[in-house]
Amino acid sequence: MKATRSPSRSEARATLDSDGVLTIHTSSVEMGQGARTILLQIGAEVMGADPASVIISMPDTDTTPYDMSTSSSRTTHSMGIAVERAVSEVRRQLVEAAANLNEISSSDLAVDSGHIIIPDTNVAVSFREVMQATGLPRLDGGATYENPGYLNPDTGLGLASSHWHQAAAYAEVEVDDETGKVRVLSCHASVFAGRVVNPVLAELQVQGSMVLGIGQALFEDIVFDLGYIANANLSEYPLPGYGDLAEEMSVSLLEDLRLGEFHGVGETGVPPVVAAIGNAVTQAIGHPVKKLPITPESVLAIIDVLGKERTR
Amino acid sequence: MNPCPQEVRAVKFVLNSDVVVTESPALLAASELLRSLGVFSVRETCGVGVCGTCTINVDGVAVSACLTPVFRLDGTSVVTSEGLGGPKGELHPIHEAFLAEQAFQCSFCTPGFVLATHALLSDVASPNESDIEDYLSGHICRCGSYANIRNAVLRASRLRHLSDQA
Repeated sequence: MKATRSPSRSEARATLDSDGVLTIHTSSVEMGQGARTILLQIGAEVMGADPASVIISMPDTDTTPYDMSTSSSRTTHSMGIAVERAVSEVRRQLVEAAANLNEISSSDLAVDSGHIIIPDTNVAVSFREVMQATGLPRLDGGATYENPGYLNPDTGLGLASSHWHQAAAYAEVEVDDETGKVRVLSCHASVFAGRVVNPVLAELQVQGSMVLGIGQALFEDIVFDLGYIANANLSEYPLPGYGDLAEEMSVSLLEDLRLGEFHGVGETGVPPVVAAIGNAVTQAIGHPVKKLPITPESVLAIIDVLGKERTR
Repeated sequence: MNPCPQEVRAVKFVLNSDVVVTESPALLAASELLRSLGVFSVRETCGVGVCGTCTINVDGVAVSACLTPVFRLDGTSVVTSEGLGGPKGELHPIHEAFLAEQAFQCSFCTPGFVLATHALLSDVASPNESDIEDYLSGHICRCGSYANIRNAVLRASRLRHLSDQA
């Protein structure tokens, strides 16, 4: 289990321009995790708009609303909910405007792929047509989402975070008792995702978490020499490459659609993967490993001590 | 003859079907020269040839541009990820395969993996698991998208078979 950064806050703004195009204004940073894709998907779904006609802004602190950080697996959860709320507000305004124009109750109207559907007649009016008829330059909605959390520094008591990430992992390893080298044979990570927005990207994130976990468990170690980092390049700080992967790697994403809440999956799978590998090595050599990374040297040292104890 | 330090040499080579004629410090890393020529798919990261992000193809061989001095390019033909596709920006089947399999997250390593895949498929038409490991092991993907990269390599090899038959 891992907490999201708390307290933290995400703000989002959504606008529908007179041409019927929805723009989502957010400061979330795209770094390959797919933030832009999934925030756009969330916005399009809530609005009832065609995703191809939705624009998502680039982060620009001059113009886009506040976000605490794009980190700690929090964007889909925090910014996702803020976007959901901001777009809901714009949708409410649009439906109300369409209802007033047609002199009917807004609760009678449905929205589908960029159109307002008027019941009985089954007439579909595009967002653009509604906006032109209202004569308004734009509809505007803003929303904030906060994750509270505070631990008393004196007592360590309190609510650490209102939002937690849950994951579990399985690992099977092989330990060479002559060289101490650990090889991960198979690995499975299972992450609670609440509601998955984009299955392809979510699965890829958990795949990545497994690779990060293998690296942290077996290779990655920042070495300090007189306060300076002594291994600040990839030649001395090995990252998992293709040959370090487990032969079998699989992921599962658990959903709870009744809860319907987005959960971050970015790094959620990392901690249990590291622990699962550590536990598997412990079982293989019959003695707990207590230090990361689990290098061949550290494994051999344990095996040597165990061997001496046995011969004594 | 190997150049002295600081020596400037005239070099002429083919870069993605364009002829490049330039004068350059002879021992400058090829990645630096290519960057100055606007080739942004060649991305230096470690600078010591262990990460694969600056891979280029020189006369059919995939090499690290950060370890290749400019004078070595003289008289060669250099291909980067940009040059694999068609003249009007058409994608190469390997590009298509990486897109179709979503074989990247941040995509910083992708051009290197694309060229490694190209080298692999040029040598081995139907690669098995150990061929893939051999050719891709010099490349690091920090997002950990290896599973999808593997699927992209297999898809590209299938696409190639299809285009060979056509």
